[in-house]
Amino acid sequence: MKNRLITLIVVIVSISSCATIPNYLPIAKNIGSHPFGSFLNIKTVLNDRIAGELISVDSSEIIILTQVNNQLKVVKINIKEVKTVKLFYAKGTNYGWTIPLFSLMSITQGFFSILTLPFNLITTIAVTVNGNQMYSYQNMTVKQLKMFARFPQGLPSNFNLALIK
Amino acid sequence: MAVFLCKFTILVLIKDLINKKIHMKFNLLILALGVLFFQSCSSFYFRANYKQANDLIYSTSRLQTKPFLKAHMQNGDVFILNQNWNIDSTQTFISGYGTQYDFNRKKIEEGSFYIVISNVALFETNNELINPEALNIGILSTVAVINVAVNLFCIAQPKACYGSCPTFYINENDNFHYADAEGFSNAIVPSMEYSDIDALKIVKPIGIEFNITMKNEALETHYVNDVKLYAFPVNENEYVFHTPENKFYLCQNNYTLTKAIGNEGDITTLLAKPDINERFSLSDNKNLNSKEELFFNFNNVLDINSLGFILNFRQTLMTTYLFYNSMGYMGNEFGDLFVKLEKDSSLKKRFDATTQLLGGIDLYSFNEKTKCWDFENTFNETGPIAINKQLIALKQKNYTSTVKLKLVLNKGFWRIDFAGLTNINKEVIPTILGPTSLLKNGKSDTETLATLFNDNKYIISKPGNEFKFGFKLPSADTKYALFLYSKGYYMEWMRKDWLKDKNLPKLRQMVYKPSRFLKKEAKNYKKYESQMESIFWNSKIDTKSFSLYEK
Repeated sequence: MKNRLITLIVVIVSISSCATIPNYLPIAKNIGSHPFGSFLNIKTVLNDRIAGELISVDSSEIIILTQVNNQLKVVKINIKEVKTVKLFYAKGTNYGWTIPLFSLMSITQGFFSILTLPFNLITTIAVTVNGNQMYSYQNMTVKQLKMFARFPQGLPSNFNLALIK
Repeated sequence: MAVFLCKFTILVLIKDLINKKIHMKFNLLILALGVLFFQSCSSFYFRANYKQANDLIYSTSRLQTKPFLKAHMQNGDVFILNQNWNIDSTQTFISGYGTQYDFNRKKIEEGSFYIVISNVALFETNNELINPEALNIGILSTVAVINVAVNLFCIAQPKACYGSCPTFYINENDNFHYADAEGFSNAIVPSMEYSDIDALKIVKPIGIEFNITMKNEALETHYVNDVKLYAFPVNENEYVFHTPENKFYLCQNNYTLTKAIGNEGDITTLLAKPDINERFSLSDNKNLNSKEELFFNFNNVLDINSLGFILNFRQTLMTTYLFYNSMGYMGNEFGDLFVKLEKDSSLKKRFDATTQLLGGIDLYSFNEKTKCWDFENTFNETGPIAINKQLIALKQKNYTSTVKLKLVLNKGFWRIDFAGLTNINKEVIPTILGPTSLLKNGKSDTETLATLFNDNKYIISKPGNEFKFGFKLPSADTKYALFLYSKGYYMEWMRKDWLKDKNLPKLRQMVYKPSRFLKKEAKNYKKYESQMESIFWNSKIDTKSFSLYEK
């Protein structure tokens, strides 16, 4: 019982940690009028994780505006060092509230709660995870990735990256 | 859309090449233009980029509502124009109302703009996402409908949603669908306290430790006076069965059921194996008190002497329904009536008159000499959760090699999982083991353990409590047939929802005219039964099977 509870807590904490999509992203219906680049989560071949606003992409590197110690910093990542990418182009919908709500409904269902509680937990956790990850793409080509950058046309010539905020 | 248009253009060009047999050089020119067109517009799901204004015009010309347009400038600025943008006929300017942002996306200006196309590095459009949340909302709506239906059902039939009496588990993580035993289900007041014996499994534990967990999974308080383990060492192909009179027999030669017939037809496959695929019937819609018969044949019985009939059975939810109805009829006089029940022995005898009338499962054997059915004995054990495994030693000896047996039972009152025949070797006496350790909700509790050794003290178990009893078996690496002995009583909690059901005349009818009550109540129970039996028991999480012998 205790193990199950711990597993449940771990799952819920994991779900909460999934919700690290930044606030600057637009809601889904505003994607057409949002001036910034999408949010990119990169896992490198060395298993480092770098996440931030996608500034630009070319055939050799990805440029990201990331936050290091509360400071914004532009980071260049060699394409060859990239293992996986996950791109978020809009804020996910938070369905986390359904987990306690449906769990509470189960508690009032007596005998049935043995069936409905796991069913409700599985479905609401799945929906919450899906809601968080909904507006995202994975395993994109460089060409596709480029379209979601702040500068899909590439960096302006003689551009000073240090000025990026 | 853009991809479609790009591909469509190329396809048209290729078609022209084939059908119209255009000059080769001209073909190549067209093909090159097509490839150029394809490269100059790219799209990914909802987003499209255009390097040429011409492509943008072409892609958006057929749209009734234009999308927002982002003009990414060569200097890094971006103009985001509302849906009313236009490109002039010379393709020199784009005009429209919108916002200009600098390379840091700081807003520079909002208003009407004329943008020189030659300064634009790239155009971007985004199609509107159509119902992106539809799947999640659909799933949640379905889950909500299911939950509301279950909640409404529990409000309408609160008695159906809550259990009764302590449940015991060998595997503490099992749920009540797999309860190994349930204790003293009839003991609803202190004076009705009794002891109960339930067959567990044949086990061969590693070492001598054996644990069993008692749970309170209902809105009740359980008062447990004693918990013991009855252990019988057994050899390969030996079994110990327990009779309704609490005798234990060592048996061997299990005969498989050859044929079983019920009102519905052949039920042999349902009853030949102990697999929790149970045979049950629905109640009679005119009278709850109505009987049915099941017929069994066992062919090729080698030894017709000292036969024992094994039955794995439990009750349906009819008992729960009747018990909770009686509590509902008491309404706010529940407390007074339970005190009366506790003090008045004649009332105590009559309190469960309805279940007495519904009766147990009567076993008859066919006497080949007299050609009559001889009554043997009755299986009867209250409780719808754990499956009881019991044996009746057959008294009648006039069989051929085919043994014919018959069960008479009340319709819709019993669920039968297995029927078998065996040869009884001898009566055996158990080694009785008391618990040597106790964990209450995961913590060692020696004080509570001590109460089990004092007849006047009780373990008090409240809803959600779990008690794990540890036993030490006589020797390691020995197979044991185990039985659980539990003694005590429980107090049902009155639910607020039940108070409105107060109906003392109905309660009186239940106690003093049970036959009439069962006739009158048949229609109401039918509504409950059709929902409860199908939803509750058929909605098992998985089909875990078990057998009398577990390695």
